[in-house]
Amino acid sequence: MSSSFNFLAYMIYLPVVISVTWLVAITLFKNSKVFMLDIFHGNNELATATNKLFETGFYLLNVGFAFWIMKIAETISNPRSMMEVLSGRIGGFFIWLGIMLFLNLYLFFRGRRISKAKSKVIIPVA
Amino acid sequence: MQRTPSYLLTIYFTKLSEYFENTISLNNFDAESKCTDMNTIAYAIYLAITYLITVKVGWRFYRNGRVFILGLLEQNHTLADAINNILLVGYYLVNLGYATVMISTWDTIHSWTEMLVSITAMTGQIFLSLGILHCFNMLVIYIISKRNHSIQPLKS
Repeated sequence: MSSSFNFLAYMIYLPVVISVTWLVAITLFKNSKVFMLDIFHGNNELATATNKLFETGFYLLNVGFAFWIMKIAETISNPRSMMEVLSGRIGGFFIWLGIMLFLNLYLFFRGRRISKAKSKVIIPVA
Repeated sequence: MQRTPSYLLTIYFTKLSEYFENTISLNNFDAESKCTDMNTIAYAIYLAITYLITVKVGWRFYRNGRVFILGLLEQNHTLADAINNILLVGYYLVNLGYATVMISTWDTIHSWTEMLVSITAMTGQIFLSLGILHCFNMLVIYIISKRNHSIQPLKS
């Protein structure tokens, strides 16, 4: 009986984690296209490629991390402790996801700033 | 008459089934047999997942990385394609090899829950290392392009 709660916890954890990662990635990389087009001066091909690469990296890192930390060492004996353990896991993973989101956003802003600074230097020369 | 291929094949299969029956009946007596069975199932599932993901991700990198190599090589299409192909093969070798080597470090599995946990943890480890490698590669491309000043917008 004790192991069944562990299994149930995993069965709740996995779909939640995967679907939330998916939703966040969709939202982030639908909107990052604007940044990419800005960074690469409207070059659609390069912007799409970079966007796809960032998306792949985001999925790999986050799903990988979620899978990696899934193991619950102690046996869960009642629903209450299952709720507690699960909320710790899922909440911690959401915080990690948020940090990754803002890291990506920071990279986009940084790229945009640098490419703007470069074009400001280049345009008077050209 | 006895040397026909179908006869030889029948002999072969009977020998094979005898062999398997012997090994299975020998193993049935010790407690480890169930564990080894579960480990084998886990390996099959793990290999299926990791190979699928690795191949898909490699294909994605192959298609989207081409633009960057082209940018670095100043539009030399033949050389870019050649480098891209070689990189893809190297990527497959490294990652599939890594995924396969990880099997040797697997603990013995006693229950379905343990199997789920170990498959997920191992797959997660593979994904994480793939992701870290990927970020590292993007950093390298970025540094090279900064040094060469040649990632320009491609107006081809």
